[in-house]
Amino acid sequence: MSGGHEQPFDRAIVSLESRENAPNEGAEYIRFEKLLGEEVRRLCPHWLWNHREDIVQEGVITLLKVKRKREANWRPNRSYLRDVAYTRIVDAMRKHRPQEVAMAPADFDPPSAGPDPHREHLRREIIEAVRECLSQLVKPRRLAVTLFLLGDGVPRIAERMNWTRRKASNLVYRGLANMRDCLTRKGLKP
Amino acid sequence: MKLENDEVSRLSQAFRSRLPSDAPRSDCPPPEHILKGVRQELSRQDLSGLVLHVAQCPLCTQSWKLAEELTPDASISMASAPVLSRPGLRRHFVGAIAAAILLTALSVGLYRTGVFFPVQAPGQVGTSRSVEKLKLELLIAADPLPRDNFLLTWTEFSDASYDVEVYRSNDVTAISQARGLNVAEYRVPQESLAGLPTGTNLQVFVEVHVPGIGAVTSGTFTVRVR
Repeated sequence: MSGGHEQPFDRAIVSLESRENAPNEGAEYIRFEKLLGEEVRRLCPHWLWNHREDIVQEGVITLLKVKRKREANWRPNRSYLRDVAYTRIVDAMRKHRPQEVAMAPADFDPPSAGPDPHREHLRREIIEAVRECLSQLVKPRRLAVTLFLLGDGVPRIAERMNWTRRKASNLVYRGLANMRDCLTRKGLKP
Repeated sequence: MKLENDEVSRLSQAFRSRLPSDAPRSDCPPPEHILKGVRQELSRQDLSGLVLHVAQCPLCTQSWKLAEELTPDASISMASAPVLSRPGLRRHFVGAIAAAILLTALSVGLYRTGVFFPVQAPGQVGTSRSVEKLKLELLIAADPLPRDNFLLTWTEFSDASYDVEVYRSNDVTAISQARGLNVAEYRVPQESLAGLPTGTNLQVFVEVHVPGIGAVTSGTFTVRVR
């Protein structure tokens, strides 16, 4: 489990806070823990799985603090629970590092991929090259290609950036062409 | 120079990957800011700053993708959104919500007929979630679709007109488009598909216009050519 010696200490603080502030917060804690646990289980990346209890507990603390400032019968809706789960998971993503490259090997094999000792090194090299090539694009193309690689289509990119669809399409097209040229110069085939 | 479908897919995969050596940057925005960016609640300038940061920050790239899972794939864009505070226009807002609910109900109804199956936009994992997100669905008879009968059908909407755009996925070249359709279907002309290799991925976008209410924009649907 994550957090080493910190975890029991954090739990103790939560427990004391609960007792101190309101006798009913123990029940509320359990309720929030259950609700938030569902959202965290749904959203949490697999490499953070071992930290999910910590994530849930930090989220419950957030919810209890919010509740103290709201009406007594305040209940977080599902959307709010998701947002809390999201912020706590992102915090955990920044706190912990994956032990392996967070990518399925089968999804992105280098050209000479196979069970050889250089495979992981090649994969890292490609990831770093993609980042570097993206950073070399002129700003509008970098914006368009970044959104495209994140999964946005042309209409969504145009909507987000307040561009015409034609402009968005051209920026993505030219940006991807630049990316390929850049990767080719580095001896890599996308 | 064009990239093939799988090349774009690999580029995207590499871009979204995180290496063990990747550490948080000191200038990473708070998670709430990323959520706002994904939900289009930031100014254009702030959004540009965020996207440029995401381009260089693997952790925030993953945070962005995670935020997308919380955000409805279809957006309800209303031409009158900036003046919604005017009391007289509130009923339009209520109408838009009602329309979205109706759209969802229609979506569920068509899906349950079993005649069509929905094409999920990237990153979507199930129909129940898409319904929950008020998502417009593309309904097709098969995937891949035959080029001589590349019929796209989507969620029908009462009194609506539709715009549809089809792009080649690998280089976002426009393949075909139609505007002001009165029926919720569009057959991509065979000649538009003539030069495409079998298995080519096409991106399809549909925009539904409802008089007096606004437009519902679909997510990105990918359909292959047979």
